[in-house]
Amino acid sequence: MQKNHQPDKQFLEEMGVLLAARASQQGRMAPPLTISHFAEYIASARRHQKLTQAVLAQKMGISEAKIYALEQGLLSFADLDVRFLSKLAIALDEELATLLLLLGRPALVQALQIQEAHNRHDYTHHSSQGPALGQATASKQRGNRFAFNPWVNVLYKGCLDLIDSLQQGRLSSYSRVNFKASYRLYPVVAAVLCLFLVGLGTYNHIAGDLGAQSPIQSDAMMSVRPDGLPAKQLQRGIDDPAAQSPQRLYLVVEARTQPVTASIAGPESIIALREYEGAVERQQCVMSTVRRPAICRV
Amino acid sequence: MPSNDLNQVIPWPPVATLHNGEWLHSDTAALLVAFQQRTGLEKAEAFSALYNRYCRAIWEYIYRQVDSTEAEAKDIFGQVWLLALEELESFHYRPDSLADDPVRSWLFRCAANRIKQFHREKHTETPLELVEGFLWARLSGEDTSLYELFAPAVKHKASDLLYAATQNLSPEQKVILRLRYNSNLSFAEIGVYLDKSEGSVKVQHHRLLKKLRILLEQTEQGQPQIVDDLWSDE
Repeated sequence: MQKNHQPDKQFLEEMGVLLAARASQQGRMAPPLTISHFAEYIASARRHQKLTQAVLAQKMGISEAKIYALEQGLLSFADLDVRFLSKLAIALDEELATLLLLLGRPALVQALQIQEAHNRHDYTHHSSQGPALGQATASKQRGNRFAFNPWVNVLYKGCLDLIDSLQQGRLSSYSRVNFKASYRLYPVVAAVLCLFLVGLGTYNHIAGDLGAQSPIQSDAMMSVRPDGLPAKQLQRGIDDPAAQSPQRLYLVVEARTQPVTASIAGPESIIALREYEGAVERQQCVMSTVRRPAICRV
Repeated sequence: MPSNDLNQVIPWPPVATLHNGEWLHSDTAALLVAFQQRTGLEKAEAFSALYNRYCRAIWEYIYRQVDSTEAEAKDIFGQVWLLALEELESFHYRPDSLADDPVRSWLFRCAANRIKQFHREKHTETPLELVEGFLWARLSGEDTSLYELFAPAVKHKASDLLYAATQNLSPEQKVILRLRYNSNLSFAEIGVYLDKSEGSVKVQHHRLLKKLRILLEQTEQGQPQIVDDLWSDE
């Protein structure tokens, strides 16, 4: 039988792009151990499912060279954003939470669980759903639980990209490759993004104090008793004078070292999370020393 | 000695990342110097030009030599170019070399070595004891470089074996084994991840290892795998 050795033009072109991008970062980036171990896991999962790289790429709707890069540990943390991981999880019949944990992002798993709990109760506060609602519904039907909130993805990817760039000192080379005409703009964009995120965090903090309600905050407020104290807090600390005031509640909470409960489900748990706000912050700090800092928008 | 390809206009493959067309007509030595000495976009362009110059020939060579599916050929092709990306940084281009184009010769030699390695691995079965040893060393957080030196395929085999063995575990158990094996985390760190105490994770991990050992012994003896029964009481 005549063997067809006509090269796969698309594959070679994609590989060329991949190698060129890698060449521009050469000498500044060693693949992190987490990524290479994650790559190993993905390769095993693919082989277990008896899929070729080409078929997996087709299922995920991405290039074959990107799958190759993934399995060789060549992708950065910024490339492995939640949307990409969701697609990967569906294609390989894996749990998204498992993939996130393997990448060292437990805070995102918690955010996922909270968001699931939030969805289960079908609250009416959906004003901050983000830009692509039609797409969100389709993704949800396919089991992509994160795709319903595109803002999370955008912020998350942007921040990880920024962190990667700063760590590897490749801000300028990155910008030259990706934004040829306006490569000096990238640090400015990064600075604006940082300011935006700081502003967003500050707003949430202030808004929480002033009583303005984000969806999660309003969920927490749903179970507040007429006397102004959350029901769960009263059950636990009614005799504690420090617990009588919501302002002083955080002081009490900050003194505790108890972490957030593993299974977060239902409005009661959301209140628990609010109560242990200090613990949430502390746990995030611990995570960032274990692995990379993860962004947990609660 | 300049390359034979110098005066050829190279219409194929499509030049996706090459913005500066002049690179295509440059001398190989000049491209190599540009790749080694410049940074950022210029470095990427120089490498792209080298890639465009040689990729088709390398691909055809590998595809003919690997009497197998396209997937293997692509894998070897990728490995060759990733190696080139690292090694060409310190490549010494000697104009007095016997070869017309030393870079081309070097790339083909790399490809030939990879192909030999591929055939060697294809016809050699990695002993299960080695896979087991690697697995336990990795799960215990020990150094595994010796295993990888003796049998490069041991990493894939161990990973595949563990993946297959842990399919029927609960997500949490799977994560414990995986975080230990893939992320090489300590029990305390896994405990933080899963919101469990260090002792609890340690106990669970120990039980999982015992069962995994039984499963591997059965595999070694050629007995049918009873994965479902093994994990059933967890």
